[in-house]
Amino acid sequence: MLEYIAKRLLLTIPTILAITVVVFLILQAVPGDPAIIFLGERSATPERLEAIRRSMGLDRPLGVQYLDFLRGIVRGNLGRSLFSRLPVVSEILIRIPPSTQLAVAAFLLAIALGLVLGIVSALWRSTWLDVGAILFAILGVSMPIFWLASMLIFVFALTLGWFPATGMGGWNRLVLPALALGLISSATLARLVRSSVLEVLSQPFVTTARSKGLAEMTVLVRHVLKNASIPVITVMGLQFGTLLSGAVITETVFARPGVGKLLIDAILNKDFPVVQGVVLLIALVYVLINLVVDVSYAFLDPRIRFD
Amino acid sequence: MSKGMTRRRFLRVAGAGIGATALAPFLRMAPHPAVVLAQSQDTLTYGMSLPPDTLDVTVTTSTGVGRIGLHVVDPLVWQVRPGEFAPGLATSWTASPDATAYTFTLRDDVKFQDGTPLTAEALKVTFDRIVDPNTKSQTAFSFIGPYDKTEVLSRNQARVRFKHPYAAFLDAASTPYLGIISPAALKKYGADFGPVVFVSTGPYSIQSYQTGTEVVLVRNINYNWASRVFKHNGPPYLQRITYKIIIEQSTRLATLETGETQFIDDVPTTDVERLKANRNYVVLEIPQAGSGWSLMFNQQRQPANDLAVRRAIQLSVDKEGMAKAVWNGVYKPACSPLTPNLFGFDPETCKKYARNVDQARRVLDEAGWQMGPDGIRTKGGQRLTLDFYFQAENIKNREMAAFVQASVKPIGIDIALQSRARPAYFAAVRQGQHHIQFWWETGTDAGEILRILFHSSNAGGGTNRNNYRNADMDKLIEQIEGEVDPKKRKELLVKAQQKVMDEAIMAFLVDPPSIYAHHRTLSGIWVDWGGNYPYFYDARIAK
Repeated sequence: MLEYIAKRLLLTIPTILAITVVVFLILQAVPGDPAIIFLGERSATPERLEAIRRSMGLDRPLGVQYLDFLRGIVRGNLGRSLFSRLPVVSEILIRIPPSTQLAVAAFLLAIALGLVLGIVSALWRSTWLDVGAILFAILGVSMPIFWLASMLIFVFALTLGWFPATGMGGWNRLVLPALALGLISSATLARLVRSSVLEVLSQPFVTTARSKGLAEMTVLVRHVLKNASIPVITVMGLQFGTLLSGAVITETVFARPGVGKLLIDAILNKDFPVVQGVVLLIALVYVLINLVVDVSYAFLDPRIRFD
Repeated sequence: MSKGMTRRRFLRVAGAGIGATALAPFLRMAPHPAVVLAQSQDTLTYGMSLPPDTLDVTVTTSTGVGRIGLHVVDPLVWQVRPGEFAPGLATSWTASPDATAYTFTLRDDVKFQDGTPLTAEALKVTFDRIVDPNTKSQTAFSFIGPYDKTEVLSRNQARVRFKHPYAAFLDAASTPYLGIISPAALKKYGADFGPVVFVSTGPYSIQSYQTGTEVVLVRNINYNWASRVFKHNGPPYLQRITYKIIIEQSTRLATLETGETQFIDDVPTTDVERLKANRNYVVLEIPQAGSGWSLMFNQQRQPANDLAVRRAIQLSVDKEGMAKAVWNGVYKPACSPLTPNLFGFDPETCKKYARNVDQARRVLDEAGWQMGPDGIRTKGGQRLTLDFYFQAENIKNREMAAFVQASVKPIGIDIALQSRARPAYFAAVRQGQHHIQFWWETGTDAGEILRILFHSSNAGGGTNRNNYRNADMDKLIEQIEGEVDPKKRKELLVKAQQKVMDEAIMAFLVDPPSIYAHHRTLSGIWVDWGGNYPYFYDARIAK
């Protein structure tokens, strides 16, 4: 097992290198010169434009720009943003806590709701409970998040006054954004849990367990849920990555800082150092989540072995 | 992880780990009583639409930083009415007759927020730094115009020299962007001066800055050099101003109504009437100085280079309709490249080419644009199709562009909407791929507005995306810039506006106001007449 983990960790190095190369090339291919975007609607003489390009380090050959970036990673220095001029590392670090808080809160909510709804609708298949849960899942999956977020503000902040509409700080400021983000994820999970549980319920070993006279609860927890958990955990892992880096709309509506928004803004500005830095972080997170998910398979299902 | 670890144990440990990670942020986030107290009436929370790109007003490109920065710096002069100035950091000033040199006498009792004294040398350091390409200064760089150099005459006297006449310099010096920075702090903080810290002389200093979230200002208790423009001297009344960045406009409005903010900018036009009807709020609607929303026609590209085509659009766009449909009647139909509150605005421009769809059709007929079978005109085999480029990020851009498209369709002009993300938009319009693009400009000096829009030095990728090159216009603009006599200056400005209208270089759509809203408990707000900078030096919040 240890050997397997070490191998996987070593493999992350070429994976991430490949990702940085691809992102670097894509950024080059996208139209737009960072110096011109920086100037925006303002005029500049060709000399001034050239001077700005030079001060952004864009006059270096592409290969050199990329190698400098790699050299920076090794030293833990990802350069400075072309626009805010802040060190990329601090731009990212300052946004990791709020993004993590939001992602964890939304994730817990999504798991709790998704599991309960999925299990309930599978066990009471074709009853009004099941219909209700499916309806919720369909609504959740098809609801645009900006609308849901605005409605949450309208109902819980403006009308009822239970929670503030924006920001960072107390736990009460996390409730609405976590709801907006978590509800939609929970719908995806609920559907998946339902189908996985239904599939396992029809397996012969469930019948065996029941015929041994095991309590229904024991059958459910020990045999059904554990076996149904593999696809669910795979999706949950990916969902967590998405919640962490893809909460741009939620972050914008609730005026919270976050990694997702940083990335989108950087892409629109072609702020190379920031895009590279954030992509590096997101790639790392996904690689690690995938590793954790894969390792957890071995513990959940004794048939899976990595040795 | 050892092989001896059982699956159950792993699950337990992992579960506890996830639980702890999840709880940790909540524990840290429990509100501290002292924090709650500090949010009392001594703090103003401002909901701001524009995220800062830096803290340094002499570098920024954002009006948002100007709004914050005006509290952190003191302008050399204050502009109380168009063209009328009062002392700021400068107690007196003189301009050379040809407007190429300005001599300022600075107050001798002013200290930077780091305790070092304000000197003429600091003015020189600030201005020299703005024109250094490595500074990458944006707004300040355009405001400092044809800057040549600063001569330090004595400890508190400096002469600023320009390469050619620059009558608009006092106007520029009244903006936050030419605020004087502390040379000692600049040296001390190096590359972090601007992105992380900013030190100047104003009534507030920067307490903290969280990128993309908030900027907190705390009052400068040593402040004792307020301009006579204001109602008091000494430290400001409000202890703290927190600028919360809330980009989403409906959320920003919601925070005003929940009480999370007491003041917001850029109020959505859809909500102006509703807020005005509510006694708890005050809506400030201040006509913006500058040039309203308009269409720039690329005169280097067929068929936008045809006067008849531009004239037909100028005559057929329904400005009143646009002001009502897109902007809820809060914006006003525009007349000229200058907004009506600018010195030198010519009211004749509102009548001369007023909307007349029949005349627009005649103009096209006479120029040989024949109506085709599909309702679009052609001339010599060329269809009358114009590419209209705009930035996709702003929904209002699309609404206005669609409105223009619908306005000119009946007279046989086809407009193709080319919506682009920011990088692609700039790449396209700077290369001149557009026939039409939007413009909108704020500024309080008419001459500078005209230079931005029409001077040939700004053509070919710069701000003059009309790509309009005309020696007479260049000369006219340069004369305006060198003319200090108000009467002559006005004549020249009228002449320039007439020329713009006669040649239909651009078409003018709507003039926006700046719209702010605040709680009725907040009073003593000063806003410049151009509508851009709400200033809270005299402000108080009623208990």
